[in-house]
Amino acid sequence: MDAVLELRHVHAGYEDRPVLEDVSLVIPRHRVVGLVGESGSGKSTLARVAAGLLAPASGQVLLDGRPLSGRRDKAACRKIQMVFQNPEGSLNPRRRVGRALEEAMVFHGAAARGEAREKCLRLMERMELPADALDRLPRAFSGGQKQRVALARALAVEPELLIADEATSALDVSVQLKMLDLIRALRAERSLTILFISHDLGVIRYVCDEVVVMRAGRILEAQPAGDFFLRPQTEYGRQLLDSVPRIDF
Amino acid sequence: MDGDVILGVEGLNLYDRAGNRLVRDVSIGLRAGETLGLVGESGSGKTLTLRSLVGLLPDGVREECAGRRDNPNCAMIFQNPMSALDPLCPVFRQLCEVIRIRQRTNPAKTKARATELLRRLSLPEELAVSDRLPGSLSGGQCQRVLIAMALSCNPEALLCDEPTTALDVTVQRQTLALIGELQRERGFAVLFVTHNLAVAAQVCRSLAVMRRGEIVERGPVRRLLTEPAHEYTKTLARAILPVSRREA
Amino acid sequence: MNRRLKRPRRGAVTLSVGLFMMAAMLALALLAPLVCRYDPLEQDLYAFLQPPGGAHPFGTDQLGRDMFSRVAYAARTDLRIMALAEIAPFVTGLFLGMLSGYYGGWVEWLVILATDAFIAFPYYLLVIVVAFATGAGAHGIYITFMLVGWLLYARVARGATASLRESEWLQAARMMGYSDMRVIWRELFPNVLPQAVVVLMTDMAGLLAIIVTLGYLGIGVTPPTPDWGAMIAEGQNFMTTAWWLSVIPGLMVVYTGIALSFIGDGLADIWN
Repeated sequence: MDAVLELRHVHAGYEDRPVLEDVSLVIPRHRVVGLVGESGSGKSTLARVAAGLLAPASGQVLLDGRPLSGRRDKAACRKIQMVFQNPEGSLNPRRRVGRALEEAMVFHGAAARGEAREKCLRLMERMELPADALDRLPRAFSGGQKQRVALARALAVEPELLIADEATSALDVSVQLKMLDLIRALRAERSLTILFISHDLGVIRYVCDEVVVMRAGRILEAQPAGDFFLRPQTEYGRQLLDSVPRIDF
Repeated sequence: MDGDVILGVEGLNLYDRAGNRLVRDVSIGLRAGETLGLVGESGSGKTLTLRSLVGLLPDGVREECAGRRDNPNCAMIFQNPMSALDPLCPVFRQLCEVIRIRQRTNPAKTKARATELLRRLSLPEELAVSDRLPGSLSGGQCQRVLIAMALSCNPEALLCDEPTTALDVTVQRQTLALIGELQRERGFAVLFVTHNLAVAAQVCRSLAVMRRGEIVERGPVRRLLTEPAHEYTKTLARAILPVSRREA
Repeated sequence: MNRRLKRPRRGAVTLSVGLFMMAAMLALALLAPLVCRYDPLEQDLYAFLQPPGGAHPFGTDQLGRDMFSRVAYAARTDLRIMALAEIAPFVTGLFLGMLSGYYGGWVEWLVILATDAFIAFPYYLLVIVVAFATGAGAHGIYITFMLVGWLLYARVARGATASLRESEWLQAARMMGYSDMRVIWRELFPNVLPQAVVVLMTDMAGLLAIIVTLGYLGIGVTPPTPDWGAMIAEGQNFMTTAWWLSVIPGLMVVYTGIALSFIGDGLADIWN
């Protein structure tokens, strides 16, 4: 199987607090892998390791089959981009959105200096953001818009793998649905690979092809979404699934 | 259900300092033992309405009430249980204090009641003898401590402001079940504010949907979800991402 | 709740008042050669100790020198020293503070240690010692500020940077693969600068007080170059008969200090 990113026996954590224990995970190309778990399960730490923001204490991280070690080079950075949870913190409050996007595009050669603006405009349009969005500071956007700008920034450099760490969790449900629909559409258009982290099984089911369940820093099970939602393999998976508030009449 | 309205307000309007209307003409009435869900997204005014009912409006919000209002003895639980407790005071002492003040009991009786509550809410009983601080409890445990405090006031109505939003799903389920059980035991009314229709549907029989400070639709849960009349209710219902039941 | 709640524009008002006051003072200093009818050093012993009014709006001193010219030229001297003495410390402090806040580790530890040590250190004493060592003139102030002035800005910039270190947008910038210098300059700097500028305004007011104090003690700007501090000291002998000799330069110092604080407060309000 062609994997964009692979974690092999990764241990990672902070100073004196180990979080991930022997985590192995394969993110196959063009798939959306849902990572689900409760608070403290280590899913955000896993995202940080995958994103290169946290170096694993031991184990290997492979990008396109080649081990990554130490500081990532420019090409590796381009291939993995991330959208974070908190809309208020995801954008530099003192930089105009357009400048940040253009800079990223030009830096990674996703667009020549002259055409970057044009490309940004198209991207904004695709994100269903107003045309003047590029000249605004982040505070002029609503929470949902901010997250879509953050998504635009991530996609501006045409990454292979998008990591979404609870990217819609802080949004209102109707706004969340809009963003999820956008992610689903973009995924098909751009043949993206996505690591989608969420605590919300409804959301995971809506966007993901595979489900990975984490608890206490370990991966408990990993299987195709269709199978997981019918037949979770672990007791904890069943518990999680049964706890989701349901409306059935 | 019969009986008088015990918690309610008629024709409530709330304004900010600049005179903008934050809540428009909201009427709510709850009878003993009833559960009403107040559903809406951020900025809909649901939390403000709730706060107005308990008299905890933030600074600068002015209220006008056209009709009657009924404020029974009520208690409230909050969204973020961790920040609702004093982080530097042992949990048990905080619980005892509420009991002592609300029930005017002597120290021995206070402790006995507090211990009883710990047991009822399945909190570790060693809390009674140790000086554990809120920081050493989980979010779900903190919320149960807050529910214990609320119960110690013998409330006629329990107001819940997104009480499970900050909790994990498994803990959410336990907490919701617990609130339901306690309600059946003690017969208080529950006003449940949430942005999550699915959660509201689990706890409440009837719902009021709020948007931009107004109640746009109200009715029994079942009808609201199966045949919503208002466009906004439809949007909310559509935004519920269902999870099917697993195979047994 | 309504997010569009208009913030009170108090900051903007304070800032405009401060800027206007400061602009007036700067205009006086810069245009002194044009607006003053008398040379500040020109003595006129027939018209000494004249009270404010008539040909001398601020009066004359014991040697018959025009007080308005002297105050204006003193503004030139004192404000120039103030600005020059702050530039280098501001730039170095800001830069070192951002570096230490961004990288953390032992560099950050060193900066914290140094800044904390100097907070406990009697600042005035150091200035006076250095001023004595280097002889009269502004050198003492320049040297002292080169030595310790940057610590304040390093402290502020480090704090601001450290609080942003874990912010998601900074991590996003890092994930873009930008070099550290690029992240510091393009992403961090615009966020740290406002706080540093607010502190700069307050610190300039403090520095002005130091310059004036040294002039007053006779170890700052050397006479006959006009300087507010020296003017206050000279006028002291005539306090009962010619109050304007001390009071007017004193008011100048107070006026400039207030203008700077208004600018600082206004900026702080607007940028928060």
